[in-house]
Amino acid sequence: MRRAVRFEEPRVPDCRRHGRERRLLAAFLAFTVWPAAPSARAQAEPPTEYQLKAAFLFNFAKFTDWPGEGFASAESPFLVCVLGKDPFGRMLDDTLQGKLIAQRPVVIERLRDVAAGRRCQVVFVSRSESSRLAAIFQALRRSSTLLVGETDGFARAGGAIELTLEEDRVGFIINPDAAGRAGLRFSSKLLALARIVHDDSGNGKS
Amino acid sequence: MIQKAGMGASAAPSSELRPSPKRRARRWWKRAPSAIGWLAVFAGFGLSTVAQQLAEDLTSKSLEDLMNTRVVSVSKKEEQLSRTASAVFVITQDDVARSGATNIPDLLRIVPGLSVAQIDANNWAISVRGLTGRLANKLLVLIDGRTVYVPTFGGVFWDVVDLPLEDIERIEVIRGPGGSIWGANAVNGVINIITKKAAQTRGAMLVAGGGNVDQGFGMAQYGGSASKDTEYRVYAKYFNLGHLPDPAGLNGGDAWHVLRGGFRADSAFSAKDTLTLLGDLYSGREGLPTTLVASVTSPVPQDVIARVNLSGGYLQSVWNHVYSNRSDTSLQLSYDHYGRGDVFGERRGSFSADFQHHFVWRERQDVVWGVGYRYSDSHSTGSFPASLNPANLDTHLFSAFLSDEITVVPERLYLTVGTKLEHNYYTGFSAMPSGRVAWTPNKRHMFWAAVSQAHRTPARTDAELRANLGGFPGPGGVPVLLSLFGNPHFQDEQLIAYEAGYRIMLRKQFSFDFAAYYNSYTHLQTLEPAVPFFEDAPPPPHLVLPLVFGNLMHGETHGLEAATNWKVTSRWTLSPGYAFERIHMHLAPTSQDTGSVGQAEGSTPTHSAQLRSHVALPHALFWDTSAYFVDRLADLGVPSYTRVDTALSWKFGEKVSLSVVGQNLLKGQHEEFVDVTQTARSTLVKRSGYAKLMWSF
Repeated sequence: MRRAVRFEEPRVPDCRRHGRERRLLAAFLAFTVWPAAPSARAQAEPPTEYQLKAAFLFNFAKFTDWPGEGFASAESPFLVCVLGKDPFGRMLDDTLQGKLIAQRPVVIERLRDVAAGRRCQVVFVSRSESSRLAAIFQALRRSSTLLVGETDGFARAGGAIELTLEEDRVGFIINPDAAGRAGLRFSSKLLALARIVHDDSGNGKS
Repeated sequence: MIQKAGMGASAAPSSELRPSPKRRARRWWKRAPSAIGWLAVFAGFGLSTVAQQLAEDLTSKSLEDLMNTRVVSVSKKEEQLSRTASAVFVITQDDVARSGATNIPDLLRIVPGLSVAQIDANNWAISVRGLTGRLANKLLVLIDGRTVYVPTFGGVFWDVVDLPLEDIERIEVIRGPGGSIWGANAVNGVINIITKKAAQTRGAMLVAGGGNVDQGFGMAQYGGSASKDTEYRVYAKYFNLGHLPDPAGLNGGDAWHVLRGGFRADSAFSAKDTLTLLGDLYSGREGLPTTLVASVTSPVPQDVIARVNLSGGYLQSVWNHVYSNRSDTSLQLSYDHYGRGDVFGERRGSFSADFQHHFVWRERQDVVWGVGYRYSDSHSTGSFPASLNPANLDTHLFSAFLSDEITVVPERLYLTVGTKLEHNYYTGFSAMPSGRVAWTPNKRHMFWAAVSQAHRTPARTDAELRANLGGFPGPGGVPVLLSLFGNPHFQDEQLIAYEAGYRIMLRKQFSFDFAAYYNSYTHLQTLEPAVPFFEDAPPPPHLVLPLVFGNLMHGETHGLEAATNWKVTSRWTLSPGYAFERIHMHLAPTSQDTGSVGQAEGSTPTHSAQLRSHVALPHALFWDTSAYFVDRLADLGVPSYTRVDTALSWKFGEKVSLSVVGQNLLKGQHEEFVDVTQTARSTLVKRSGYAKLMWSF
């Protein structure tokens, strides 16, 4: 089954051009668009770790149900936030730009403090925050925020999803207790592919 | 991208108006900033379009596909290349998939300096840096750290070195003596085949294909988790290879088939321990075109097709324990058994235990030391053409090694000294020391040099062989038999190797690896005539003209190897390689050998070259081509040849791929090697092709 291939036309400013210039421009556009067009290019170079993790974040958001009260209004966007030192660079923007999740446009924010994370639907907790996990979980309790992290033991400590890197492949661990506390529900598809762990201390509801 | 932008963005003004040159110059000056502006805009669009494209592709993949996608970890690769003070060539998973090879010997052709010559459909002469032959004994081959060389003759039976190629993680080929870590037999090189961990081969996979020579092959594999920490895989594979033509164009009789099944299980039973269990079992049969002497009374050697039954298997466990990030140990136990229905009719079982401890001492020394023991028990029935005397023999091998990598100047200069000490059944103690120095002036360049000593300790055939080579009716009607005898006092063949090399890696696009060597050998094997004697058994009484193994040849080999990996564009990679070697051998004054010098000097090509090309075409199509040139083998009368293989594969998602492969496309058929021991007669490698379907689910 072939993957569907789509590529975007780069947006060219509208300008009057003489014939020769137009042809040269067209030739030049061909050079910039051509390497991007065939999907084989993406296959020729394997993605880096964070390119793949950005794609996973998109999928986590896609396969999770958020309660209506998690959003400020019917028009508010879907907020994906990064807490701590951002390891994605441009990749998160490239992945989520122009996408819709839960029929809302996606907006990416880099958080300066934890409390602001309560407004976000997804908070990616970067490795730089690994010593402050307990404080972060405490601050974001009872907000319908999906906490995704990549430090070892993130899920067991109370985070909803932990991204793992095994050899050269990305996987993920789900803590359904943490998701339940946030009022989130995962699609069975997501649960089937994840490794499941439960809270270390066995806290039920808090 | 920026260069390409330059072509379009520096657009000339309209052709309608032709201002004077001075005015045109002024106008160009005015337009330059905007041209550069457009240049930047277009380049930016170009780059962002590319990155966006990759992101698009990833988000359109299903979750299962994402979990199967491999990421590239640049730093790991850089680390692997930079500090090894040896001539190393790593055959990666991608190289394996792209080569179109269906067996390990064909895979090894891509390594410059490793000479691979196919003798017939199931026999190869493979060696590093010369001194090759079907029974070449100077190369150590390991699979996941377990030696697969045959102690009976000290070499490798390549027809039974096999595993699913899809399970190979990488093959590390070290050219040059590896004696100080790997021990005797790693005289000219070490090949270590490393398989993927079970966690990397989850799910089911089916491979099936066939062609004109590779008449039918298939592999079925399943990988899963037995528990939270334990992953496993099991596989079964089968192939059936048709016969190749003999030099007269007739059926060479070398068709063969093997059925093999195996498993691997990895368990991380604690945060600091991993246990790996591996094993396999195989059974097959091959036709071996060979030349045998039937009996005393009909001593003219006859060309026959022997039917050889092959069977064997092994079980191996590896336990790694990590004490801290400065200390870890590894204990490896293995048992392997094989039976081979050839002239020796040998069955051999071996048990090995190896312990290794790696630790960092005082921040500047990285030490590995280990001890090992191997017990091997051989039973052979023998036959008139060849037998071992005594028929049954069990041997013990003790070994210990120590290797210390000293950081003389951090990040710049490293010195590695080490030695292995072995005690073997025939020649007692032997020591194999080596010293290596590595200098990395910066992250891109690396220079290294090494001096090492290695021994090739005697195998059963060196000491206990009796091979009846031929004969004729002698004076008075008494048959005369020419026989080859092993020498119970056969000594270690010795090597002192001087090597140096240089490595460079430019960004991710270009890497170049160069090695040069001078090997000085002593006590190499010769055939010395001995005093004739009469023998009663088998009847009738006959006169024996003996040739006995001696150690009366010495000499040197020198040469160089170069390998390049060049990413010409993001979709096209070229990998050229080249090797040059010259061999000069001499006999001791007391030697009466006649053929060994010529054979050693003329069995290896002087020049050999490889060129591999990998192209990623649109629509998930990949096209790989490899070309090999091998110079003539003067002493064997084998002319030079060029071989071209090509493979076209389609990938349908991450799960299905279809490949069509053509091999030896240039010439209808050609000869690659003639084995002087005549234990396997040559057939011709012919133009062949096959199609293969691989399906994971």
